[in-house]
Amino acid sequence: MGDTPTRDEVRAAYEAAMGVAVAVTRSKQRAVDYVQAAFESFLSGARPWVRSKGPFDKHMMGAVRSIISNARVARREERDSKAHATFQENVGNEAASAEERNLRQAEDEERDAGVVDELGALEASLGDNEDARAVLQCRRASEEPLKAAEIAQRTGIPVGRVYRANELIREHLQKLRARRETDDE
Amino acid sequence: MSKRKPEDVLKDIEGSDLDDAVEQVAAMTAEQRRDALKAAGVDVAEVHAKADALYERLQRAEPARAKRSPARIVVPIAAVAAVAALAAAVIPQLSQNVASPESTPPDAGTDGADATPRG
Repeated sequence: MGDTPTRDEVRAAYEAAMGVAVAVTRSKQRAVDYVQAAFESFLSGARPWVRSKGPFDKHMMGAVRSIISNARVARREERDSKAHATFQENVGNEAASAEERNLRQAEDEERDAGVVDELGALEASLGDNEDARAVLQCRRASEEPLKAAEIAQRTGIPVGRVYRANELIREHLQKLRARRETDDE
Repeated sequence: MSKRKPEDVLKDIEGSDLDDAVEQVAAMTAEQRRDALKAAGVDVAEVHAKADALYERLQRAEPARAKRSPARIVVPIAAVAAVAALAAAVIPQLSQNVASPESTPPDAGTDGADATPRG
């Protein structure tokens, strides 16, 4: 079991967790749901807090981050699973195993090629936005995932501009995907 | 040259809003956090009410939490360790005195406490 926060620490942690959730979801109700889920996991003992390891607000921000991230992964997996089921329906369950393997391999190769294309298209879409291009190139050249502060350190771009560049890159990625989905239909 | 897989880079980009939000909120003062919540249309008094309700639940759950707390194990362990340390210090002296009560020189102490000549 972990430590017990004070009333002031719980308030500060709730504010901080809401700050993160609202910034990410841009929805008050969804933010409340995620924060509530994070605190429930703390109360149940699933995410114990140890005072000596850091402040409670930081602990709860991490909990909210993790819950939102898990929800996204679950949604992505559900989407992929539905897409796979549709593919299977279209191909037919009676396909010979060798043929099925070939089709699956082709599907994987197509997906890999799509990812490379998507990254290339994303980079091209950034045009002459130097910060965004530098941030994307920095991510591509890195051996590990990078936080904004680390990108700022490596590129010399102030961290506030890295946040804005990240936002722009995400917007472009969403637009590219939306356009591709429209084209597919 | 790209060192990470393209899909990993895309995943980093997709998740960068979470990391950025955590970093930004962590860097704010308490007042800045409240201002940011207000700007997003969040009622701070309502946030405090929800936090207080959670704190009350935490307090009610505290006896059950304490029962499972490592503190209940740490105290007896500390007591046993203290007794063991005391025994380790005292028993060799006692056994030495029992084994050869005459062999201890009268001025063996270094602080002079036992240095008084015996009559």
